[in-house]
Amino acid sequence: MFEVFTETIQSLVQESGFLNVSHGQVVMLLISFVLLYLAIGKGFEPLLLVPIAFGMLLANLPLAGLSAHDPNGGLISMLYKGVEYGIYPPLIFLGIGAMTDFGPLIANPKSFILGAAAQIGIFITFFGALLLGFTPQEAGSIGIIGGADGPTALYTTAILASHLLGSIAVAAYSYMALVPIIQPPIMKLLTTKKERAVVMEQLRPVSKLEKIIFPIGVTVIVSFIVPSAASLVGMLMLGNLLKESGVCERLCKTAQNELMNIVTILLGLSVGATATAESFLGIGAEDSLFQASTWVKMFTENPTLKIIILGLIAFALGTAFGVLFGKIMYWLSKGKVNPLIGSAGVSAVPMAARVSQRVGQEANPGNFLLMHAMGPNVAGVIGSAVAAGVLIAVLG
Amino acid sequence: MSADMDIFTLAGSLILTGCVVVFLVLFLLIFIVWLMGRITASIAEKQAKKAAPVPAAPAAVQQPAAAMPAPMQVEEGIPPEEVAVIAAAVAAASQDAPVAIRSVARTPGSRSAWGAAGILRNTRPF
Repeated sequence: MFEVFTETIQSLVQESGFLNVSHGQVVMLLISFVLLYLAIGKGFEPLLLVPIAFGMLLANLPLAGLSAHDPNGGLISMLYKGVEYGIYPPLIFLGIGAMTDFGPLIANPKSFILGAAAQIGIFITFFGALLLGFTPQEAGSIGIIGGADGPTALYTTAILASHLLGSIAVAAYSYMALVPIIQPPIMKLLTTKKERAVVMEQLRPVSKLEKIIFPIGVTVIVSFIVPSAASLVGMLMLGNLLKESGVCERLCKTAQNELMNIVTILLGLSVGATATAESFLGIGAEDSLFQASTWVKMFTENPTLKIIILGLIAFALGTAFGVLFGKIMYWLSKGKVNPLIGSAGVSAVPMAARVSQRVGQEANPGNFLLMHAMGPNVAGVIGSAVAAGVLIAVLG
Repeated sequence: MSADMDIFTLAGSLILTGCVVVFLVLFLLIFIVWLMGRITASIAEKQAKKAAPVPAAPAAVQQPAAAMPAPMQVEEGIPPEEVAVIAAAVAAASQDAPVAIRSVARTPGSRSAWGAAGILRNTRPF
């Protein structure tokens, strides 16, 4: 009996995680701890980053079978179907639409130009990614980070390059959290104090009828021109119509709260669970950290480092082009448009608009740019969805 | 996409296509939203004209001595600076329509400030 007991204990030890963990998994677990610290300790987009980081942790537990691509079809691989089939991101957009006020955009439709300008960074970064050796589909997924729109980035990546989901999710949401740090230096570099101090005219009032027609019209027009954007734009506008119609209050509340929270958990968890050592670091189970070749492989074949750098470039270019087009509008309007609102054309709602407000107030303490910046900010959501539709249509 | 397309051709064509399509769609939306604004403003104007009676010819200006309005009631403990901020917010929200503030008082809280902050945090935009 003692022998049987000993053999059983030996068998349990052999099958435990301690004897079966790879060096890559250890590194990934440490990375997940860092991301959890950033999310919880520093407040970096915690609503998404906590599930993503924890999904990363679960996926790298040895022998647990909790990876999104687990061949035995575990819990998370089932939840991952929502990402694979492009279900979760449009549902997130439903909730976002139910929380968005398009009034400032309707009152000043020229804001659409700034929302479009901020998407230029996506396509230029696509070129940069191609030069670094990524395939066109991977490059498109990396470029979309510049749209600063998490659900759009995940939706596009799931279709074009699903093996990069983990890296792109971490990069996209990290940069969205860093908007208040990344944008102000670019905004100040491209504008003068006089331009930053411009006070804009109060926006006209927007009628309820306009707010009801707007989501219906945008859905039809955008979907006819770019059908591959219909999923994202349609759900965004459905959420908005639920809010603006005034007759679907219960549905609106559900979309804003319960639905959004449920999908956020499932999306974050399953996307995080795609970040295994192979996909995130470029090293396999047999690679040892005590070998120099492993480190060389991590730095040369690892897509994540390149994605993080390219993502930053995409984000910075989006901000820069938004501000530059804001300057063009400043000149054309003879000083009536504050160029700072152009930086809000990236779709990090509402943080980018708040950054425009803060930088504007530094130049002119009595200036309130927030509502003016909300126009380009929400236009950027539509613009990034259209850009994603173009990438999917051309590269998919 | 053709496998034979080199990087520069591919990138150039995608940059051009992407920028043209995004700007085209959004310019179209600008036109549609502007048009919608004009149509709804025109409808609202016509409805306002139908509803408002024709004003009488202006009479000689005779301002009857109007009774002095009752002073605004302010709950004890609310500083004048807060009253000024509230008045400014009401003026901004009323969009230049004539508004008179009769009193300023705290509403009986059905939800604590912490509860309200928690709800706001959980429902803030993503």
